Amino acid sequence: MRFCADASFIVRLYDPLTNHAELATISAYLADDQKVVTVSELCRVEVLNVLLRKPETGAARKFEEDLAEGLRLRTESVDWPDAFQNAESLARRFSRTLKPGGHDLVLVAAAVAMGATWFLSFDRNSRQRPLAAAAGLQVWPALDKDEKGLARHTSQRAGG
Amino acid sequence: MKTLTMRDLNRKTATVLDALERGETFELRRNGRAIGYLTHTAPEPERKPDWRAHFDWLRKQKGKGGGFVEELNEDRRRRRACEATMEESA
Repeated sequence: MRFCADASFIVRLYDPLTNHAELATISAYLADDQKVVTVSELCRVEVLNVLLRKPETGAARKFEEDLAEGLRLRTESVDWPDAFQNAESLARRFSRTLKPGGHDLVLVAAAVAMGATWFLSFDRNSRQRPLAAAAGLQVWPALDKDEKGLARHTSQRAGG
Repeated sequence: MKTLTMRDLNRKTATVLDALERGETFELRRNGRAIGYLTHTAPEPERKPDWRAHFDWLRKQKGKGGGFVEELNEDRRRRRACEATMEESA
């Protein structure tokens, strides 16, 4: 099983101000089975872009050290032409009903191209979580009722 | 590196072990395919991701500030607003 995270998941691992209960949930989830989390180059840049705004915290340096060590976090290279083609395919299938953002399409397509089975994301304000589910990935944290309905409706419309 | 078949290993076990002691390495083959290696040196210990150590580190950063989650949310809000404007004007 491959666990692919987006930036909303990764920044929580480096933000000391992350909600305590949320952090406890993440910690328990990752410790279970000693998961290795994979990120795309796009996610790596997105996370660095945020962590580098406060270099004095040392978070950016720690993130880069963790990626270099490759034990907890790993960067997976993506075949980008293939990922963009996949993003277009997702747009053709799901844009009418789901209206995802362009960034959501590329992120989910990259996860699919990396061979992810799980998509880890806390971004509930975009459509990337239901899009990932419609694209066949399992999503953590689990989709809420509205997201599930959206993913189901989208898949049905795309299949019909 | 020398290659070794299952038959070689069965027939010349003592010779192979002597060579191993001298520091030689063998590629072990079965049905023409490499299935493993016999070597004098111990393999690297398998390391597992230590998430507890990571979260211990994070707890120690409390006084250094942060707010990265909010920064990322703000970035994404701006992008969504931009996309919504594009959609309205389309």
